Amino acid sequence: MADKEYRRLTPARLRRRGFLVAVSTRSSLWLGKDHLLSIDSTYFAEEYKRFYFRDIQAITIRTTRRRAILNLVLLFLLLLWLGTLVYAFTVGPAQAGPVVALLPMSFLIIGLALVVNNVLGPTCAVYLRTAVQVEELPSLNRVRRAHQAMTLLRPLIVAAQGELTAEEVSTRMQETNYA
Amino acid sequence: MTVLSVECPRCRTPVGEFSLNQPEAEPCAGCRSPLQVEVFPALFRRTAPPVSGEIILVEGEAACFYHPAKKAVLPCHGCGRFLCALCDCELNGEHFCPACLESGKTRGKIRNLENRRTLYDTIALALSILPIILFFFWFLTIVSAPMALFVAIRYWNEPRSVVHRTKVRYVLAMIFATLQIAGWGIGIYLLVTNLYG
Repeated sequence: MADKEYRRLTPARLRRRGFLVAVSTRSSLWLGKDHLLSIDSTYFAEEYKRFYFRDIQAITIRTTRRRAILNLVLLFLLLLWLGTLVYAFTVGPAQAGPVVALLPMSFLIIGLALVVNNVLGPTCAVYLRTAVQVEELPSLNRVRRAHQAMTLLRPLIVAAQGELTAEEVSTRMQETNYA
Repeated sequence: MTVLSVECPRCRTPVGEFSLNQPEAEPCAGCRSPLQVEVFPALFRRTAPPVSGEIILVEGEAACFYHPAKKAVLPCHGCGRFLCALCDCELNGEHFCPACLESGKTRGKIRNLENRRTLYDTIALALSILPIILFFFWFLTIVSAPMALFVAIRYWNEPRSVVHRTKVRYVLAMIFATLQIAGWGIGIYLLVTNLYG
């Protein structure tokens, strides 16, 4: 079988870019031979951005508070659920009617979302910088996944450009800026 | 003099040089967001100065196709025309003239320049199954099924997504659309035979 040209790096994630576009645009990352391919998929079309390994200047991982905010929202929903449960017990299952039937299912959905949100770990936003742009990579939205992706990407970028240690970076920065 | 720096994506504060390529995230000096920045040698690469092409001094020297007064430095990878340094557009190690670059983009000849593709296979599949999924719109299949079949046949050889994708969507769309058309055919036949039979 012929080698595939691209290898999936991340599953598709929603791109936050205004409400209507965010609902329909999903972004994913693919590894090519000499570049990283970012695909923004709307239902019936795909837009491509290629980042050549030799052109990538920097990758920034910024830890965000999205997980904490989502936890708060889910806990609030859980409180609402608890309130409904108390109400159902107070008035009796016969009086509460269809609310009782929805309780197990809603608990399952909220609980599962809460567990998944915490199992996936802290959230982040990843930015890739080249000489002409800074592009956010929405599919890398968890720190753990971003580090996994970096583990795969780093050797490819290093193979194309060479490696820089922290000391070398500060030396070269000083040389460039104070020359 | 331009100062070289990597900025915090949130507050645009330059990240300190001692915070770069560190194993752990460090707080941004401006917004305190934890940042982990990894920089690569391309950051320090200087941009090549613009070139205008050398003027021909000796008669008989190869000249640029677009600028006859300028010396040719290499041929275009696409059309073979001689190009001067000004007309040379390098793309991923290959050299193209501006015309080839333009046609390569518009006609999809240079794959790495392609930045958008329409997914006809998904359109065909959606046309064949959406009216069924949206239960109350099943009657639309009288129009959507022939459309799905048309799209599947018309665009069968069109390039699909750049990432690996089979023709299974086209095949499914054709099967569903054919079944729907057959269903309508049988339905109309039964209706007519019941009315006039």
